[in-house]
Amino acid sequence: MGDPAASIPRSPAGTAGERTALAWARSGLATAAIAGSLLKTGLTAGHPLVAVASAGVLLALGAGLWTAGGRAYARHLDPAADPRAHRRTLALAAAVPMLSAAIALAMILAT
Amino acid sequence: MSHERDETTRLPGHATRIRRSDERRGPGATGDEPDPRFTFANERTFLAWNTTALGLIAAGAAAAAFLRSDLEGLRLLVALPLILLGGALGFLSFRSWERNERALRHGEPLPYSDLPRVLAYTVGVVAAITAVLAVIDLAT
Repeated sequence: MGDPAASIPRSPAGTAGERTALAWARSGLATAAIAGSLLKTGLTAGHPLVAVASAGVLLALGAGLWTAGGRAYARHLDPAADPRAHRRTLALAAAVPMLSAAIALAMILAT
Repeated sequence: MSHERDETTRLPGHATRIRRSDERRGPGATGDEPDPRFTFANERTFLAWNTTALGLIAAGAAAAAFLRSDLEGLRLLVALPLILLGGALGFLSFRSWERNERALRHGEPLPYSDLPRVLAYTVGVVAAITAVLAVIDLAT
């Protein structure tokens, strides 16, 4: 009984998929960092409710981005996967900076 | 099968209609599945832009929070372009991913992107403004 992962053949596409999964994880971490930064900015500016709500939403999105990497990797192992679902995931990832920018602008201009 | 599909998409008068349909369905619904390495590379490029966009927003928020200047407008002059560019990059990088994915699936050359130039110019201008602010701060 060896490691089951050792039986999976290694391939260039497999390592490319791993790098992509790691890139998703980095985006998730960056989103979590933005959430922390906006939480601090909002609390300092005297908007605790908005700050906590915004940080909560961004943290949830960051967790979603973190897990999306694994799903993207699995999608390429499943030929029957719906490409539109993947496009929706990327669209959601693209919405994170726009949402973060909107929250940051609102906080800065409100202070 | 794939040859038949390619010929169909190249029929005069049909290309525009199919393209509009592609816009709604997304690039993954048309063409042939490319080498997974290219698909992953395109996705990583999108994610790199996404992370850059988040970094710009964080830098803008930090500038707004920590830059000290007697003139409020100067502080916002540094912070706002970074945040606005970060937000715009989120959308533009997704468009770029779609165009690249479509080109890959149809075996066409990858489209040219203006994003690196826009990013370089904006960050350069903001860096110049920040340097001027620092000099003014030192002089006063």
